[in-house]
Amino acid sequence: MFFLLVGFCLVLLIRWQLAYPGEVVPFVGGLLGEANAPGGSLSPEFYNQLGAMHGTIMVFLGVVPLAFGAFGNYVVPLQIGAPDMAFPRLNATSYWLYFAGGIVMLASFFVPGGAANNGWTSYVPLSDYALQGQTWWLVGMLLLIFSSLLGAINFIATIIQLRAPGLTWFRLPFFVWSQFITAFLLLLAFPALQAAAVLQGMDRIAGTSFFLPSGLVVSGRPLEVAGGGNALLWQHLFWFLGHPEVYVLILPAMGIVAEVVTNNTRKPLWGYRLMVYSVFVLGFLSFVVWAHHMFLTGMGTAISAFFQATTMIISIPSVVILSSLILSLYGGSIRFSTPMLFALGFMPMFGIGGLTGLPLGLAATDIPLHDTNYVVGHFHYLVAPGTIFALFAGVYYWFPKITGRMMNDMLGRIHFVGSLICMNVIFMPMFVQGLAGVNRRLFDGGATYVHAQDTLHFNGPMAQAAFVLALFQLFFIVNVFWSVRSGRLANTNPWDATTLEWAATSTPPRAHGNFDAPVRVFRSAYEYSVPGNPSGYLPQNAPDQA
Amino acid sequence: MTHDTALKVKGYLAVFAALLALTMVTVGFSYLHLPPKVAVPIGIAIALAKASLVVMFFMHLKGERPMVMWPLALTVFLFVGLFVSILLSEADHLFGARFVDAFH
Amino acid sequence: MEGIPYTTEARPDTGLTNPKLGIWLFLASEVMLFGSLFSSYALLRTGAPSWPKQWEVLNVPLAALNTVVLIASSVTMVLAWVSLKNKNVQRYRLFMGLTLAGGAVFLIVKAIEYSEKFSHGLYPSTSNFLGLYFTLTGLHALHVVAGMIVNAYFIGPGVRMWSTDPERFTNRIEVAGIYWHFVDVVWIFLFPVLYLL
Repeated sequence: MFFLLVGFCLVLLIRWQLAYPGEVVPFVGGLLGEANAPGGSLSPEFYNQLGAMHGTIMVFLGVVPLAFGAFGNYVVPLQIGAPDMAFPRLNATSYWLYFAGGIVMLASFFVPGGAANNGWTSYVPLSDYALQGQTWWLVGMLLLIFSSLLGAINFIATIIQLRAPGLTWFRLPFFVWSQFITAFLLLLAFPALQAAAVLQGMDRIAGTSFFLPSGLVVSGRPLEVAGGGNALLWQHLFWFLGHPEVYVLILPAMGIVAEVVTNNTRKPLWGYRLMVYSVFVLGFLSFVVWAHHMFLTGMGTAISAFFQATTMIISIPSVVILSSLILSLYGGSIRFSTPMLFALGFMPMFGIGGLTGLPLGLAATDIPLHDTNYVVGHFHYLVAPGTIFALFAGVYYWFPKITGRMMNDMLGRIHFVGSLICMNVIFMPMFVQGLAGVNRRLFDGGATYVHAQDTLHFNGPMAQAAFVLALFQLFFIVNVFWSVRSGRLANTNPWDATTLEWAATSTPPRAHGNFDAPVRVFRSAYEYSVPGNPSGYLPQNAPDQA
Repeated sequence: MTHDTALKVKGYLAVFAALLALTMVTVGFSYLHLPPKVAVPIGIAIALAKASLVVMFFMHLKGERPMVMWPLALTVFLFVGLFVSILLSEADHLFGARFVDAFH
Repeated sequence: MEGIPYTTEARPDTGLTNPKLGIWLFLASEVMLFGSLFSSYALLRTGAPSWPKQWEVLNVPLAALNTVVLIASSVTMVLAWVSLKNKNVQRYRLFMGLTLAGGAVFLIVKAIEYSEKFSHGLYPSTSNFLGLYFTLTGLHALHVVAGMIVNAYFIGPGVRMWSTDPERFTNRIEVAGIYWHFVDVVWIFLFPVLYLL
């Protein structure tokens, strides 16, 4: 979560620059150093660093570790009735690798030339010739990837091997399924980026030319390398990971939303089996869509058609899952707790994000939209009011299990309303700007382009909304820290939930495994409002009544 | 363990002999310097055979419960195959076929 | 770590212990890693206007020797495990020692190959083929080193577990063996692809 904050601060700097180009950044301008911000206003190189590192930090140091590493590690063993993860020491190794990767990434800001500034995608040949910070980025990525790989191994082994007796596959809570598929995505997709990072490292350090074509001229001088490389190779390898990576970002979120929704509607998930099959299909398909990020690279029409088709097909399981979540609301006795608010907010936001992806997935309509702010709006809708809302829901929902106390409701609701409004103000205009043709990653936000002039006025309100969004996060931060000490005490199952984690004591003891007694599971995950049962829910581990 | 000492020592030595033989075959073939169209499939096929021997017998894949191991092994090979074929097509040749403008 | 089930005994429905499942999952990711690099090789080679005759640049007989050495070390590795199943620790040490020796010979031969290249002015930067050669074999060699470190631990301080928990130790050797065989399998593909074809 700390890293989410860091990434967020980086983008605040970006927003300032876009809104008030050339002006001095208030308060912190003087702190940024002469190299980065002469006279206190951002330099273009520094702006690019902010862009690249904002993306890298948010995705690889923020969302993935929080959604997968943190929530997964904590909740999954509890939800399957296991005493711990299958490989505890591997788990610790995975964490420290993540920590090391984080240090490397942050340290890269302070090396000569600053951090990597080639986008989180580090396209070649530019990255091959970037300054030192890029090498730090590569090293940091290798550490982070290794951390995720070890984590993924742990998750898969744990879920396969350590389910409690009676917990068959189709009795698993959907959250566990989503983490399971996410782990496979990480396991099989990340190595491609490892390979790519090694190759780029060799290009930078050993002078190879894997990505450098013959005859390349840099700054007016032809390169003295062997040549014969292929710049697109980097893009293929990167996006082979990159696409499954974004499903890694969304699947745990869907899992969290499913848990919160079914709990707060007091009825089972609509279409549980369908959702499980969908998430399987989604996982598999996510490996064969990657080149929709490369429609403009001059691929042949046949290959483009292939990827366009697979991309359209992959929208189907996503829609099925979203629809199931929405249909789960029908006929439910909805309890508008704070986690539920975020889960409810997730659904339309994810819908917008997903729908705006359709023109991007079709090769022809992608041509004017590629690399514009439209894309930025699209993925931010999915990750920010999408995944991050789900993560907030998860925090509010599982906080009592972790700490034994409830978070403050009023602060939570304010946090929700404020975040929802601000996020929409920030990201909705991006679609308009993108449709007008404003490119992404522009230092001046499009000010020098004629076609952008009509949409420039959005930059100001977007920046202001970003700062207001930051203020609303304070409500959350204060809530977390205050509630740990002084929140309302909670019993072990404050939400009256059925899944196994609520059968463990709050703040599960670490010394003797998570549960007081061996767990046995008797029924499926979401037995709410079963006719004839007075309490309104049946926990998974309660034996059948006579 | 669900299986006992898989193969006896003799069995492992037999696999070793087979691997050595295949190594000699693959080196021998290479001295013929056949054109790539022929040499590559043969070379890869021999390598696959050797790898299968190692995986099945040394890594005990043969003894494992089929339901668990086969999906895992199959998935991995499937992905790698997919990977290689798409990348090759990006290079505009896949055994001579050109994928550009296939819709003409 | 007490109390985590299936660490030593297999879970009935999957037939696997946790470590065994874990190593196979790890190998799946390694297949993707080397697979990506092999794919890169394929892309770069098929897209190149010309490509050196690999068997003329590299030393085929030496590499063939290395292939035999590595395969032999795989055999000794599995025989080490068999010795433990037969409760013969002395034999185990013998075979594990032979495995380590095989790995060491492999690395020494590689070092000879590399220095031979460098002395002729052939570096990774000289051509994409050489770049791929050094990167692929270098990464492979790193995996050999890692395997040797693990095996060295198991012939040295790790043997202590044989007295306290022999079944678990035997399983550990099996798992280490699976990794070592994988390193062999990668070489089985590297050898023809880089040297012969």
